[in-house]
Amino acid sequence: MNRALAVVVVVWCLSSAQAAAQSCPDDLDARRVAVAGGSITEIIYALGMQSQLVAVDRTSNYPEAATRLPSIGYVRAVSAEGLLSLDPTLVLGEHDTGPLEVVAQVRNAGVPVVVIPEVHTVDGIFAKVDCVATIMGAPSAAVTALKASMQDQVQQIQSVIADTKPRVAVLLSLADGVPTGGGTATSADGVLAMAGAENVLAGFEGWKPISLEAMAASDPQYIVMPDRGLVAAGGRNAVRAHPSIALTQAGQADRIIGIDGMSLLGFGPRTLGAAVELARAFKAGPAGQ
Amino acid sequence: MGKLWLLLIVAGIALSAALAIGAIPLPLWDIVTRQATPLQDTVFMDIRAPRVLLAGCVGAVLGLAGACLQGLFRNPLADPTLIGVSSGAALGAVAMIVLGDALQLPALLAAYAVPVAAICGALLVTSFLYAFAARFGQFNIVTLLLVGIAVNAMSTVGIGAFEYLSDDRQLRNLVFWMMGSFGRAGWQTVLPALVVMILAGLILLRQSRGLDLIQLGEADASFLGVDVGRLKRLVILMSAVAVGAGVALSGIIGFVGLVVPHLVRLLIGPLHRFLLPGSILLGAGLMMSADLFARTIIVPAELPVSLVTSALGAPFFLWLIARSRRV
Amino acid sequence: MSIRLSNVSYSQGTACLLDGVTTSFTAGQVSAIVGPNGAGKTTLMRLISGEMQGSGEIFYHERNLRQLSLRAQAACRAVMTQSSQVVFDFSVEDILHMGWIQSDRLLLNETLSAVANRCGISSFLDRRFNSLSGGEQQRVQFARALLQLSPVAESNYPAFLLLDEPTASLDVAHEMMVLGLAKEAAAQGLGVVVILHDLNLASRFADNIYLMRDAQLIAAGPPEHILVADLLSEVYATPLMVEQHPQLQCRIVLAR
Repeated sequence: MNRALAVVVVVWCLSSAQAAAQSCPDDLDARRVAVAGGSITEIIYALGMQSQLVAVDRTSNYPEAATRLPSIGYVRAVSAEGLLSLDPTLVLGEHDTGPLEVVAQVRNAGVPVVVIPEVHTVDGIFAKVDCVATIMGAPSAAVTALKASMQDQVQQIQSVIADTKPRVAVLLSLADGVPTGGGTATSADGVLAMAGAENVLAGFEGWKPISLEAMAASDPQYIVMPDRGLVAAGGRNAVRAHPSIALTQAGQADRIIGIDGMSLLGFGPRTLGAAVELARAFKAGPAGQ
Repeated sequence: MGKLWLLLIVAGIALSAALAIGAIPLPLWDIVTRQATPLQDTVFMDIRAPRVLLAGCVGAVLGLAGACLQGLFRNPLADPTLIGVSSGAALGAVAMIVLGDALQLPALLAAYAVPVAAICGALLVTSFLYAFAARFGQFNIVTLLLVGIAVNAMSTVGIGAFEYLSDDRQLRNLVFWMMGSFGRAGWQTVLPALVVMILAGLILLRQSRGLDLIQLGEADASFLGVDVGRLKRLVILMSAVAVGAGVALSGIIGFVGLVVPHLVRLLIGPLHRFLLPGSILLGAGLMMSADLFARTIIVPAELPVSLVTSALGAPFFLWLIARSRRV
Repeated sequence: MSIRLSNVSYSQGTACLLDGVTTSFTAGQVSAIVGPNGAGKTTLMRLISGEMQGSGEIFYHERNLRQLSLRAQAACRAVMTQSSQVVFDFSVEDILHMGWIQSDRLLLNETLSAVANRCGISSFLDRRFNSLSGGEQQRVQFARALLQLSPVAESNYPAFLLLDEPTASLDVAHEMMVLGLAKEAAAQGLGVVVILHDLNLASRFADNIYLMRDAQLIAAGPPEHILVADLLSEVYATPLMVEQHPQLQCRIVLAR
């Protein structure tokens, strides 16, 4: 238990901004890397370093080739022995890699676990790319090329961003008919800010189930959902017909946007693409009319 | 008695298999003779051994508590999970995980706050069930299950409320923990819980005669010299302590407390002086095997162990209901 | 050697269920408690057994019941209640073992087979208790009560067997059997206190009859003193007649 507490403190320190520099060391053995976190996998592939990957977690579904690597399970429920059995020299995880006791066990076995800091802004994504590239020892040409294409997308966002901020809600799912929405301090909040939109669910922190009346009252002009959540909810028309959403502008005008979940919320390079897509959709909607 | 030895052998085999098999090949003989690599030593001592030990102990106390509660309630469907003792423990632990930060306990106390809260939660539910039973007469099987559903529902409400209150880090803890797993076992957490579980287990083992006699009815048991009030208090308290300590470390793992005593009764009969040690052995063996399956079937990832026990236990439960309806 | 009651009363709220009973029950005899419904027979039995506590004092061999531990009480008296359901599949032998309050296991096996023979249950010791008929279960419970007292029966303190309507669910053959066993136990030195509804069974098996009405003990004595037409007719508020049976050498009571 004491060790668990110590780990909590350590992880907290690692993920806070001032410690960011130390958390991207360049002196680690990155020949066999296990990754817990889809955005890190995505960056490693984008940098062309995938030959050093030995395993990924279940959120690593892009690019498709990554899904053929051994899976260490869900990012928050990793198995210590399973992870060690792959004989990794290094484990890279997102901020929610866990459980903490397992992280401690892996470190005790002599395998470093690095938690990549996550900040939900454009700069945050660039920092993440830098961090992963430093740790992996990626060739600078690959880093420059990746960052150039990312910069490209940032400019696209700026070119299509609407003058008036559309009011948008990001819903993770409609499980049991109850929408789960992203409040402040979520990746959803970050991506909406990038795409020049206002998060109508900024009244609370984190991902929370929302009462139907509160959903109706928030009256978003757009609703953004991950593709899987949209399918699970029965498709666009079912979401539109949902009693609370039918009352909103988004529901009435059929402005439900489905988008790949990991590109929307993962905060890897693809999130910039998602932001471009969203910004275009917003421009075509009421803000642009 | 001979069949008890059989169960001991089964538990021994399960223990050896669980220690020997895992995602990382570990030659046990090398470890015993100190010829293993430091990595193998670390994996064995820090990861696999505490995990197997925790699984065995939690299985043992769930089996034992199930047998004791079934005896006390004179009801073959009394199971720590079904009647809500485990979810009471879960509620206590969840409350402590979420509220614990605000209490600002000194580090030494904070380490034990969650298990203690889990024990309190389990105790609350068990006492409530018994008070309810005492007030409205002995439960028949269906009533007990219905009350269990209600208790579980209440705990779920409480847990849901705390989930809502929790921040992201706490929520991560909760989610993992509600799934039930031994993956977080480490010596610092396992050893104190082990002491508590063993103490509670020893006290429960001593109640075998009282639990036999109470099958004749409470009045008849007291005519035979059993202090029925003391028996009830001890069994309720110690079952709650044992289950609470287990749940605090491993989350909710269903059906073991239901299935194990039944199998042992089929094998060696209902007398508690055989049933209780038998349930300890079979519970430990079953849980170590279930965990072994859970952590090796989809290497390098793992299944939640409660998935495995429920997959075994739920059909068994249905069979039990069908059987008790016929009688 | 007796159970002695001194001014024993019991009330529940304002209702007085037992009112100042002073009497004694002697070891080596069958004492039958009789009386109309609601006379307080079961209340009396529960106070004697220690299940409930009222006012007044109860002495087993001049030892106050209040001061006896549960274990000591268990050695003084066994109680046979209406057979309750047993949930788990105990064998008849398991149930009998439960009656054994001593630690000497060797003596148990010896005593058990003797008691089982006496009660005619030797042939089904291995069967599940739940699979027995009501009469068989009653006999097993009776044997369990005997077993509880048997080690004491050979000591200087005779123990007491307390039976609350042991024949309630039995046919006439089993009635005779259980009361015959009780009578036999009394002959061997145990005290037997039994509540009976049937006055004729009391007449045949009891050495002393205790007649109760309205929470009071109104008469006690040998059957020929209690089984008198006038007294019974008054107590039961029904015209009754009492005859001497020519062959059984005991009185029989009939409604007129």
